Order: sequence, then C-alpha cells, then structure tokens
Amino acid sequence: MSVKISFQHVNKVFNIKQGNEKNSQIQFTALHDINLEVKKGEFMVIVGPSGCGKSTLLDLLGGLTKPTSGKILIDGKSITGPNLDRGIVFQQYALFPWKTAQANIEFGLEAKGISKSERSERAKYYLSLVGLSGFENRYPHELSGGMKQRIAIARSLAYDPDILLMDEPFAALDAQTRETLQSELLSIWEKTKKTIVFITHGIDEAVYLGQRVAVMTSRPGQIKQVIDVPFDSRASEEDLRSNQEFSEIRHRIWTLLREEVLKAQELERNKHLSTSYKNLSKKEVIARG
Amino acid sequence: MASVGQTVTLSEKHSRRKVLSFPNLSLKKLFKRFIAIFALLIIWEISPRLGIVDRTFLPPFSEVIQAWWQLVLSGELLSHFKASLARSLTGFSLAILFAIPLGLLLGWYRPLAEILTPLLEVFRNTAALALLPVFILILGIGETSKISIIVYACSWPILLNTISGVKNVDPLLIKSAKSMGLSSFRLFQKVILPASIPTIFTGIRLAGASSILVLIAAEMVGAKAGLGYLINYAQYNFQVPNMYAGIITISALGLLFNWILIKLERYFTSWKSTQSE
Repeated sequence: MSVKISFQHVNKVFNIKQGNEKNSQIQFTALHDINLEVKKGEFMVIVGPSGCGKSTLLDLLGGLTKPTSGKILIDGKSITGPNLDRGIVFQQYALFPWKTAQANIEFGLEAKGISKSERSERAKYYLSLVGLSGFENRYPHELSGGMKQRIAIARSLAYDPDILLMDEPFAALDAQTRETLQSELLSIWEKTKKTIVFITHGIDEAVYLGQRVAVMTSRPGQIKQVIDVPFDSRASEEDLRSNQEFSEIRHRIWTLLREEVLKAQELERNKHLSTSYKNLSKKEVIARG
Repeated sequence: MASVGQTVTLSEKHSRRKVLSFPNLSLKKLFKRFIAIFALLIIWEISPRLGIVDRTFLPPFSEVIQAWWQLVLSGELLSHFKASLARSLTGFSLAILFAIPLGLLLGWYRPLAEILTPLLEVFRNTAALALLPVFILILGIGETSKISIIVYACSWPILLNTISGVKNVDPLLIKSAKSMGLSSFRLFQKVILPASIPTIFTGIRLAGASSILVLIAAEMVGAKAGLGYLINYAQYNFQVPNMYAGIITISALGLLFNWILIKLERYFTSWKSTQSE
C-alpha cells in the first residue's frame, strides 16, 4: 500500500509568555523530531500521556498550524493549509448550534460548492450511515452526546475527505455509547476505506481500533514506538477485548505508556513545586521590603 | 354490574374535572403573575381616599384612568404617543444600523478594538443624559438633537454587546470551520455572525429600554409634543391626573417594546434552548 501521510523530522515549538514582563518568553517544545508514515486506507491510532502534544500533531495534519521545522507530506505534497481532503472530528463535537443536524452535515458541502439538492441528498445518506435517519431537523441541543458525535462524524464524512482526523472523539461519551460508536466507526471505515488518524489516551480503544498504534512520549512529544495490531476483521469479531492476543498487545502498550505517564507526572509536580517556591520567595521579598 | 357502573361514573367525573381544571390552572398562573401589580393598584386607589397621602399629589387610580380615557378620547394622547414612538423608533433603528456593523468590525479586527476600547469605556461610562445639553447646544432644540441623543444612548449597549459577541464565539467552532477550508469572509458570514446573534440581541433589548428612558428626558427639555412633554406640561399646569396618565402610558410603551423584543429574540435564537416545544 502506498504512503498517504508522511511526517519527516517534524518539530513544533511554541513561544509562551511567562509572567508579566514583556521579554520573558520561554520556548516550549511540543513535538520533537516526529517521524511517522501512515499508509493509504490505514487506521492509525496515536496514544500518549496527557499534554504530550497529540492534539498539536493533529492540528498540524489538519493544516491549522505549521511545523516549526520538518515536513508533513500528504500524497507526497506538503500541507499548505486546511483543506477538504482532510476532515477533523473533535472531542467536543463542534457542531454549529444554530443549524439542524442536516444543515450541519451540509456545511462542509456548501463550502465545497455542491448544489442544494445534492447536498440534501448526501446529508440524508450520511445521516442514515451513522444511524440517525429521522433526526434531520433536530438542533444539537436536542441531541445526546453520542448523537452529536455521530452527526459530527457524518459531517466530516459527507464532504468525502481522503483522511479522517479524530481527536479523542469518544472521550466525552459514556462507556456503552463509546463501545457502540467504536464498532460503528470500524464498520464505516471498512465501508469507506478512509485513512484514519485517531488520537486517544485510552489503551483499550487504541488496540481495538488501530491497525497500528503509535505510542508517544511525554513532553516533548516524540514517537516512542509503533506497534502492529494484527487482527484482520475487527468488526466481525464477537468480543475482541477478551482475546488473548488483544490483552498481550494491550499490556505492551500499557507498559510503554506507564513510564511516560510517570515521567509526565514528575514533570508536572516539579513545575508546581518551582512555581510555589517562586511565589514563596516573592512573599519573602515583600515581607522584607 | 354495579361496580362497573360506578367505575364509569368515576372516570367520567375524573375527565370532567380534568377539563374544568385546565382553565383554572391558567387562571391561577395569571393571578400569580399579576397579583403584585394588582395589589399596588389597590393601594394606589385606597391610600388617597383614606387620606394616607394627599390626593392632590396622588389622585386615586380610578381618577387617573378617567383622565387617561379623556386624553384618549380627545386624541391628545394619541398624538403625543405617536410623536414619542416616532422618535424612539427612529433613534433605535438608526442605532441598530450604525452600531451593529461597527461592533462587528471592532470585534473582528482585534488591533482596532484594542486602540478604541479605552475611548469606548470613557463614553460608555458617561451618562447619556449628561450630554443632552451638549447635543442641544450643537444641534439645536428640534428633532435632530432628540433623535441624536437616543441614537447615542442606544448605540452603547448594542455596540459593546456586538463586540463581545464576536469576540466570544467558541474558538472550537472557528477551528472546526477553518478545518473545512472556509475563507475569512465566509467564516465571518457563516460562523461568527450567527454565533454572536444571541449576544447582539441582548444588547438590542438593553437599547430598547434606554431608548425610552432617554426619550422622555429629551422631551422634557424643550419639546412641543411627546409623552415626556405631556408629563412635564401636566405637572406645570397642575393637571396631576394627566401627569400620571402620561406616566402609565410610558410604562405601557416600555413593556410593549420589551415584549416585542423578547419575542423577536426568541424567534432568532430558537436553536439555543428548549423553550420551543
């Protein structure tokens, strides 16, 4: 299979203002030397501890920010900005609250300049694909979290992108809804043959969904290891999660992640300690003054 | 058999009670809503009659209503009402036409907003009525100065709410729209504008209230028609019931204005909450 997405030595550094002084900017490395290839039609999952730069990685892919150095290629071409060849699904749905379910799905099609009748037809098709036929005229506030995320997925699928980018899309849902949506996503993926980059912090979710799972390190974010998950057809398997192989892979990722989580916690603790120490010394100065 | 008959009558009674109780319930609601106003009117009616207050300064409510009715019959009230309504609507509409585009512009171009915010704060915190003499000095005593001060007073809430509406659009929605490759202009038209409508409407509603407030004050200073003029004139000539009649009309006008704006707001923001059943 051909390479769809290719990260080549990608770095992302943010300048962050610290304190009130104007020149006290510190550099914050979010991503460090990311190298990763995603094949056409592949389901790639990226897991990492919180704050490791997973979402930054997705923003870069979406063209919402630019890398500080390095290249991201899609079909061999550098990303120049956001485009409808990539669709993003966010954790918080990001549906337009003033639009009905149908109008939300039509939104991207409108941007693509598709005629009104075809828009409506396609929206109806994708609504049925995510199992929400009959909910055309509902507003987002009238829908449950799971339904909203289905609409958001339908919206991204409707303008037919090659790549679907998903930023912890099921993290805000309850366990049952999450499982249902996971298996539905798999069957949609098998039907539509999209390349999917899926970000999560859930290990089970990663192993269940991904053909390959990329484990990221804590700050600065790097790709620690990419693990193959060799199940053929996930959707047809009855209870994949209780499979022996599944738990072995799950454990491997868990071990990899645990070191990073501990490191991240350490970092966090030190940061808090140093800031509280700073505050303390400030108080001392004031008291002395 | 007997028991069957009983149940039938029971259910019949039950259903009848249900039908009867429905209007009862809405009456109860109505009662709850207007009881305080009703109580005030009763106190207003009784206290002058009992001599608790001087009836020359506060005539009983019934006398005020009679005076009001006389003003209606003579057509005097209508002409004052028309004059006031024309002024406030003109000023209010001009303010909407002027302040919303300006607010959108200021909210969208951050640097411009940063430069102008301190100035806006100074003007916003200057009571509009304090500037009335200035308006009269520059624009004379005619309609121009009255409408201008209404435009001025109405513009602030609309302007500031529009700015904050545009500024506070959920960044995730912007991100989501951007990811679909929308241009700046389309983003503004398709996302920023609809997302800020509820906040803009709050501003419009506040402006509606202040349009009437300022209107009356402006009419009290050098006008020949209008409800503010009526009140002032009635007071000077000691037609106390007429004065109260004018005041009542103004509060009715204010309530009407607010009611219409709330209805409009609900219509435009029906997607926001569950009030539309």
